[in-house]
Amino acid sequence: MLHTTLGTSRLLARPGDRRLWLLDAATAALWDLHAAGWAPAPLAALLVERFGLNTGEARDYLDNLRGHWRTAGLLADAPAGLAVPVQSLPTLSPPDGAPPLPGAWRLRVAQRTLTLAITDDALGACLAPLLAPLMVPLPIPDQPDRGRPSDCLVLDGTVSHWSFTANGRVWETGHGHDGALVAMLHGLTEFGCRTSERLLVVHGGGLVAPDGRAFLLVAPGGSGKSTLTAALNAAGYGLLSDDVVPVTPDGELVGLGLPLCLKPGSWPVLAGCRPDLAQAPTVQRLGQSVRFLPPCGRAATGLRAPALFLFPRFRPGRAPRCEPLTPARALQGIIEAEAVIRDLTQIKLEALARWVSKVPAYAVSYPDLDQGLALVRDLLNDRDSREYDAHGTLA
Amino acid sequence: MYTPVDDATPAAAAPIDAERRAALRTLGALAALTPPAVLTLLLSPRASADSITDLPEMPG
Repeated sequence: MLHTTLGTSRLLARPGDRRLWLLDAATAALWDLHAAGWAPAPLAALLVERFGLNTGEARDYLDNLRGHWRTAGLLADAPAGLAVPVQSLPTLSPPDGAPPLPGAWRLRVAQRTLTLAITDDALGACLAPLLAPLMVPLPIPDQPDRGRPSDCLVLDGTVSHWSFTANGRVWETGHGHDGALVAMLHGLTEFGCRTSERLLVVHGGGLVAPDGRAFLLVAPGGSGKSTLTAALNAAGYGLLSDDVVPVTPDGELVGLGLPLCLKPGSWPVLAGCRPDLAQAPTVQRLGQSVRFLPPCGRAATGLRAPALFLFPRFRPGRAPRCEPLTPARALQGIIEAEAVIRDLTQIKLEALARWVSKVPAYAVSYPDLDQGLALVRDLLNDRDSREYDAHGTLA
Repeated sequence: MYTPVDDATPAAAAPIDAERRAALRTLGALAALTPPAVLTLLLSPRASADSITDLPEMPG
C-alpha cells in the first residue's frame, strides 16, 4: 500500500488501482495500528483505555470502522480493486534524424523544441496566427544552433486528405480543414503534456498574474473555467493554458502557449474583452462548435511554481462566495476535475501530497464574469477568506 | 454484538507493553475519536491530456 500524510488526513493508494483513499486523522491512526498487526480485541482495549469507552462501545466502533474499510476496498478481503485501464498513450517516437522539410516552423512547446511542417498552404495560413506565440527564430546559417529541435512534426497532404506525423510515425489521418486543425492542436497539447513525464496533468486553466505569481483554475467541464481564464488573459494575466496544465515532477506548472478554445456559450460573454472572437472561424471539434484564439500578450511558456489553487464555479443569481479548502479538499477537487495521474508510485504520491499541501486553495463561485474577475484579483491581493463571513459570502 | 473478524495472532493478542505504550501515544495524538471517515477518490481513466478536452458546454 502506498501511503502519505496530507494535512491531518492520510492518503492511501495501491499501485495499479484507480482508487485513492483519504482517511481522517482518527481513521488513519487506527489504520496504522491495524496495518501493524493489531487485532480487534487488543485494539478495542486501547480505545477503552484512551477514550474511556466501555468494551461494547469500543468493539462497535471498530466493527463500524472495519465496515468502512471493507466498503472502501481497503481490506485484503474486500472486492477486487478498480484496475487502471490499460489505455495506451500515443507513442512518441524518438527523433529519426531526418532534416525538417523546407519551410518548416520552429516551435517551443513545454520546454521542447520541435519543427512543424505544413504542406498545405491554406492550413498553414490558418494555423500560423494560432501558433505564433510558440514560434522561435530559425537558426542563422553558420551560427551555432542553440535550440536544436528534438522532434519533427509534419501535417502532410491537403485539406481533403491529410496525415499528421510525429518523428516519422503517423499519429492521425483525416479529411477536412477542421479535423486537421484540431489534430494539430491536440498533437501539440499531447507533446506538452506527455503524462508519463509529469507529476500530473491538471484539467483547468493556468494563468500568471501581472506580478508573476502563477495560479490554477481547476474545474470540471461546464463550470465556466475557460471563459474566466480567457477574461483574465484579456485583462492582462499571462496564459499558461486554458484547459490542461501539465505539472512537472517538481510541481511547476508548464506553460503550453497554445490557443484558447472557446465554446459558443462564452462568445457573447467575452465579446467585450475579445472583439477578435467574433471574427475567429468556427471549427467543429469533437462534435462541438468552438473558436480558437491566440492568447493575449506574450505567451507564458516557461515553468512556474503555483501560488494559488482556485476552484471556480459559475452560479448565476447567487452572491459571490469564497471558501478556503484544506489540502485534502483541494486534492479531491483536482481529481474530481479529471486530472490525469498515471503510474502512481510512493515517490509520486508523496510529491502529490506535498504539492497540494503547500499551495493555498479556495473554492470560489461567482454570478457573472466581472465578479469572477474581482474575486480572483481579491484573492491574489491577499483579501482572503477573512473578509468573507462564516458562509463564505463576501462581507 | 461484537464479533471478532480477525484471527488474533500471538503477537497481536498479547502486545508487549512497549508496543501498547507506542499505540497509546498514537491514539493520544487524537483530539477525539471521531466517526470513521474514508473518502474514496477515483483517478481518471484517461490516458492522455488530449482526451480530457471533450467537455460539455458552459451552463447559461
